[in-house]
Amino acid sequence: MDWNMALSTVATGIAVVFIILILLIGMLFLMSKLATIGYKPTIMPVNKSFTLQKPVYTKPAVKPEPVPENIDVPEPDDLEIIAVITAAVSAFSAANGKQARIVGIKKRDKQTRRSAWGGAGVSESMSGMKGRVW
Amino acid sequence: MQVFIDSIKGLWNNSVFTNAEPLSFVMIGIAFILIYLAIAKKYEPLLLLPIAFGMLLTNIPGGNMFHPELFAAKDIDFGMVLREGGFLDILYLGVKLQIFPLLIFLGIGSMTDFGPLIANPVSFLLGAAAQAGIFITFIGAYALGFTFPEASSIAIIGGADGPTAIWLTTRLAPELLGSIAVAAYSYMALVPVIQPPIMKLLTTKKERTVKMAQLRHVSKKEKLFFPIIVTVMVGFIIPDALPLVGMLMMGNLIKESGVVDRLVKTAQNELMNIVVIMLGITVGATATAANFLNLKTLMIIGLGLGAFAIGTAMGVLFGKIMYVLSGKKVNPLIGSAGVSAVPMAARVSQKVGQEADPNNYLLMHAMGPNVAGVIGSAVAAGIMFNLFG
Repeated sequence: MDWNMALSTVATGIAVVFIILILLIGMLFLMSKLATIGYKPTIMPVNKSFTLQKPVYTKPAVKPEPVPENIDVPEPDDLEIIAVITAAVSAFSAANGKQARIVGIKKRDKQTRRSAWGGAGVSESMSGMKGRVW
Repeated sequence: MQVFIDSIKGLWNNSVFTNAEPLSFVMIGIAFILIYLAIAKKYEPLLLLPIAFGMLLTNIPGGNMFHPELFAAKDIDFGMVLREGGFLDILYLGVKLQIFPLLIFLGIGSMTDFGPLIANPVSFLLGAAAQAGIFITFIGAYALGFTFPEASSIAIIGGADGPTAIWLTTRLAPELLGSIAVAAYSYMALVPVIQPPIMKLLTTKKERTVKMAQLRHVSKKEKLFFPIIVTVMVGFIIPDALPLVGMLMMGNLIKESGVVDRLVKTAQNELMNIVVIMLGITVGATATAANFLNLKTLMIIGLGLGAFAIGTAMGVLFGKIMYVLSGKKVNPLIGSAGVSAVPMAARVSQKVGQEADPNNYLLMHAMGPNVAGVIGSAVAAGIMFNLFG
């Protein structure tokens, strides 16, 4: 049993792996610095004349239809988000010469489920990884 | 009538029932178990199924599909293999000449996104720490009586990288190839079972709930330079690791270049699938009763589990060091992904992290150490080959 050789293999192996990977870290830092030379983030111009109008609430003339109990009623903050998304869908569909409307809203439990954006991100990250072959 | 009886007698004499050795039936039984695990339990089926079927083919007496004796000598008589060899002997040349593992590395490279590693290069340290499992297991294997080349081949199971294990074992201890390949791929399939208890044991709930900052955007230029830099650096320092690392990085470069889509699709799909079939079936064919049914195989299975567990533990412990040094900004759970097993180990980090906090997303952070582990284990294999090859 050549324990000197065995122990020196362990020491050499761990040391060399760390040294090479630390050198690679250094190279990556250097590369990221070089890659960002001359890079300026694009800043959208601000329209100074634009002022945000305070939303005015007008009482509806017609009595709204009663809402069934089994439909999730969004919070006021959510309504703004829904309005923005609806506008985006409308703009997108109008560009294609089509009309679209939101027909339903379903709230998800934030504690147990990931957000749609998070889900989309995870889905994109995992795509191509299914069916490991090595 | 006599001709008919003689023909039946001839068939009977050539059949398994008169030629069989009892151990062959044990191996056939093991092959059935592995086929069951691959199909019913989905344990790495892409490789375990061809491996198991290769094991079945080679252990049916009289089939003459694989002849281990043709490859026993250090200098293979290739003419003899071509003249006398069976179907699996011919295919096995692809393993023996290191063609298949390297082509698989090309495919892996073309499927791997090194972005999370480039965005957070410190992940390399976690990938390096997890390789300690390889070297510590090397000592264990040597203490159990294995030679240095055998101990190196067994220890590389801790790298959790099948092609690397096959590449090194073919060069250092080909007689152990069947046992090591089966152990390596079985444990890779068991990553979700082996790792979580170790991760939970070594971390506190507070550490597991650490949410890490979003990774920065990585430019295309960085992704293009990365494979070239890694190839040059590793090639200059450890030329023995160049076949593995070079093919991995070439696959990645063709992916990131964006100008050879046809090559990328071929590397990711057709080439990879063809090579996986040929590699799996021939590696399985090396698991003959004489090679597989012995005490060494049991020790290899035990040592392989130890290598995996130690690698996981070292990664998590190094993650804890980074947790402290970074001011509690690094979740130690991502350290376990440093053992490679892409992307399974990263998924395990994500899963264990989400058990502690359902809103914690560690996947992309864990992918950094995960792909660093692939490079780390290839470097470790290069070092082992340099020392004992």
